[in-house]
Amino acid sequence: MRYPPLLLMPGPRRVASAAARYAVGLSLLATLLPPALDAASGPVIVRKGGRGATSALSAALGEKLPSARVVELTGDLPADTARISRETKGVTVLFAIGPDATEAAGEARGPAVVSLGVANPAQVKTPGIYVSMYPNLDRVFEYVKGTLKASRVGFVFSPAKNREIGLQFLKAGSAQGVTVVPVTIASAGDLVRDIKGALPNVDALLLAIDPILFEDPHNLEFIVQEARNANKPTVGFLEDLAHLGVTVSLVALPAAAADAAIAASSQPVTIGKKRLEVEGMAVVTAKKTGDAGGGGGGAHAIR
Amino acid sequence: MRSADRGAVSIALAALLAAAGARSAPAQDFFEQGKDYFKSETIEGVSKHAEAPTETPATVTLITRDEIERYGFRTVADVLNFASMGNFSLGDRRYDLAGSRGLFLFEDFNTRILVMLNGHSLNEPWSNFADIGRAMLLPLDLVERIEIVYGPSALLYGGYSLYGIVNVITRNGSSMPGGRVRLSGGSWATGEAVASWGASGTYGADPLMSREWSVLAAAGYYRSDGEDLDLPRVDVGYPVDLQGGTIWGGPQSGTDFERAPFFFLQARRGDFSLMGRAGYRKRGTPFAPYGAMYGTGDQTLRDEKEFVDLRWDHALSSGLGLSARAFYDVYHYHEVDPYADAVTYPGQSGYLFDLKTRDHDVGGEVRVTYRRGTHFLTGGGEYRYRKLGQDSGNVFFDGGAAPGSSIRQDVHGRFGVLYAQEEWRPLNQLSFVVGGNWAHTEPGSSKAQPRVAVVYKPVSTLSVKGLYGRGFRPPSIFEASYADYQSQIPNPALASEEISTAELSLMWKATSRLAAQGYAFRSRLDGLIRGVTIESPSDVQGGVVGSGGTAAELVGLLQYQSAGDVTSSGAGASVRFQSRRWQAYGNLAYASARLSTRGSVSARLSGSPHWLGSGGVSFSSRDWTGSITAHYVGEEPLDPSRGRVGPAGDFVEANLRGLYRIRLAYPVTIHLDVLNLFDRAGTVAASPVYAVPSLPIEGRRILLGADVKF
Repeated sequence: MRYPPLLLMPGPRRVASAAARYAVGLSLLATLLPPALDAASGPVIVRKGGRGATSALSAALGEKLPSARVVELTGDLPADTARISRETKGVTVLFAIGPDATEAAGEARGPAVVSLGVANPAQVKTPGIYVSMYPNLDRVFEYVKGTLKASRVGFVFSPAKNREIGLQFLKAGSAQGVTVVPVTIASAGDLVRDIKGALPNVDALLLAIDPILFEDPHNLEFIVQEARNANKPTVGFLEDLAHLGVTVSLVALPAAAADAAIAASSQPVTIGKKRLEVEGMAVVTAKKTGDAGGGGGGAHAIR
Repeated sequence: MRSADRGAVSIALAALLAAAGARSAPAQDFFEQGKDYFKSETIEGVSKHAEAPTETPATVTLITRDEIERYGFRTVADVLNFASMGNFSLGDRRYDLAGSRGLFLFEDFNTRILVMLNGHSLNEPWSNFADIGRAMLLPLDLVERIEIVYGPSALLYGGYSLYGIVNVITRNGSSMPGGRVRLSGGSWATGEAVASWGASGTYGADPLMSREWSVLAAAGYYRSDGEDLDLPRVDVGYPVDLQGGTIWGGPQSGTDFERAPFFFLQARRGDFSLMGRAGYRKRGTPFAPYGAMYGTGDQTLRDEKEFVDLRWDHALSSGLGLSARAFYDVYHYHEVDPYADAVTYPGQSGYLFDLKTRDHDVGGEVRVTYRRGTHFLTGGGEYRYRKLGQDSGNVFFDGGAAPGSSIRQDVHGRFGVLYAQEEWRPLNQLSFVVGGNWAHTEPGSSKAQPRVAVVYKPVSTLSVKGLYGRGFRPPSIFEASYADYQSQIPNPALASEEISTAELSLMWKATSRLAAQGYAFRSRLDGLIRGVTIESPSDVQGGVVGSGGTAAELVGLLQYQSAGDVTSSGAGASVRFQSRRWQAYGNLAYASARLSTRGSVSARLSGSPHWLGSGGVSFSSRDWTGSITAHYVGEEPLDPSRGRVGPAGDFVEANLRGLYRIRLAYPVTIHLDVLNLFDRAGTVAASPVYAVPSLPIEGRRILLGADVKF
């Protein structure tokens, strides 16, 4: 061989020995540590650490599965994949909370995945069961038609993030006799133009769980203000939205989502994807329990 | 800075941080947490796949879109100066010239740092030059983030990264949707307009599996007349004006100009993506290098860079991915230098030296990634064919060609690399990265480089990395092949430079709001390529002879040779603080490099400061953001050939930025920038091509602009 093996390349001795010292030292240190968690059967929850947006789901699932082992993501996909692979040997199903956890679980190619806290499952490749972040859409449109007296609603979403969710709302609304008008917001300019253009033609605005709502506080403020000016209610699907000016939030309760996930885990899916809707729905307003328009504040669960 | 000033600044900073801590919002913040519902953005970094900075087998600094906007960084050179942990940029009004961790070489032209746009190498083949200003990159409005990688980390790219890597990741149609226009202007007749349009979406009939598309197109133009200068007068002993005067210096105006239009396109549909960039930068050179006339405005540089890069990224199966790309790069360079030389061509008052190069780089890459359990394997290869032509000659002021001065040279080169890297994570706390590549270059030769990294995470918030890597830089085609036999001869035997670095690196996330980072390194660069003046026939390398068939006739000419070794060592540290309203950062680095050449004792590298520091503080409210950034450049020793004159450097430069967001039908952001806020008169070391040993930094500049999203 004309070129020497890579690791035997000649080099400055002092530098090479320093590198070797670091490597050997770190390796020795690692071997003195307590061994990594042994793989064991039983439920495993993969989630982000800290108190993120999906922590309520984590808490609900942890409460239902007190013996579950929790794998917290490091934020590095290869590292998380290796960790999941190592810690789920012998496990048949794992619960992944959030898209990053779901993707890492899929890359690990280990147990079947039951995923929660993913806004649009179409944007994650992992096969498995996806517990929807939205309540049962039939119940949503029953509420919209019954309580809000709306027969024509605008569904606000960005086409790059939620086209598939938009199609589901169109289909579900049509089945309930509610006309769903897509209000596609691709940019800050679209927001100004399309919200103003849509409001005169709809009875209410439904706000998808979409980056539009999170990227810039001014966006949500603009939607809420324009809807108020037009005297049209706004409907969100995250609890906090009701406290940020949205008329009412229709929320899939974390406990119900956890129950649905645990029930679904008995029939896991390893090829393709299955979408699972949560039956329970909480109606959250900033002011009054169970009433989109009143005052008082709180949440009301509808079954 | 006086000690009283330092004390006041420290107290103010401490008070600000204390106030920020006291007013920290609860962790539950709807807008901060919303991104948890969506997949994180992925980028190709050091290892050509998405990975966290805590896991990367290198010391890295990441500058995000938010920080770029918040602190008002305008170019990559700004980022290196104001936000990196040991890199710096020395601007000589021709180019922004990068140095890193004690390594800086005059007339290097960034040939030892790998500069990339979305993983596409911008270093051109003629001299390996890469620009970090406006000649090859994009306005930072279009940038998602900048990755600064310290040390030789180009294992998967082949070579060139002796100092490190700067990888600029652009935004795309998804992260920059709709129309957007930014207009700004201010001091020195500076004006800039950047317009962009982006769109994105998904396609496919499956409601549970989407395929994405996006497109982002942008164009812009930057212009500035530059600063009016009044430089100290020096008798340089050669004519600098047509009257035969030899006094270099005095007032000049309109010579520091810059013009830079660009166009950028990025499109993606499913597995395919396309990226293209076109544009040029034309610049005046007010400090009159190469013994040219002073203050004429006729001495100019023009760098034109176009490229197109087509990629295909496909998942063959779960865990197995295949990527392929093809690219075509064009780089044109045009330099004009006016000389008040009435001797060379009798009857003429002088002439213009006119140099043009045309470089073409075509190539492709295939890469496979395989992930199984605790293993992640990356392997692939890249090939480039490089063709270039050079025309130079003297032109009289009336446009006529000077007889016998025209030189034309057409050459070609090749670059091929095969690489493989294994990442193995046997324990939660421990991962190993081992890899190597084999590269063959023309000019140059074959090289193999290893990389070994051990990443140890005793707790999830602390990452300790032990790193060892080697890198190389092949001789450029210019260094090996350029030959006019009037000033320079070729060196067909010229070998590559090679660097080896051992490093210990730490990243610590102390709290959710406070993070710290540090490194200590030692490196050795062997076979440094430098221009050497031939003093005797035995100095000539590569068997080169003159037209008479002897080496003796080449005495006095320049030949690039492996002419020294550089050892360097140092340490750096960085602290970042972030709350809902406040952000602050600080970087401090120390490095020392010494050059050993044949028959001489080792000496400190000229132009390279031991100490570098930078920091910034910003405050954001609902509608406005204010920030101040500053950087300190330590003492820069001057070139010994300058005699016993004082050093350059040792100055602080501060910038101020204010942003105000309003909605005038559409969202508008108004921005005010004051660059070199205190109008400090710092100097940077000048290369030997200048008549003076040090050059002044730019004075205070005020810019006002508005950014409108449609």
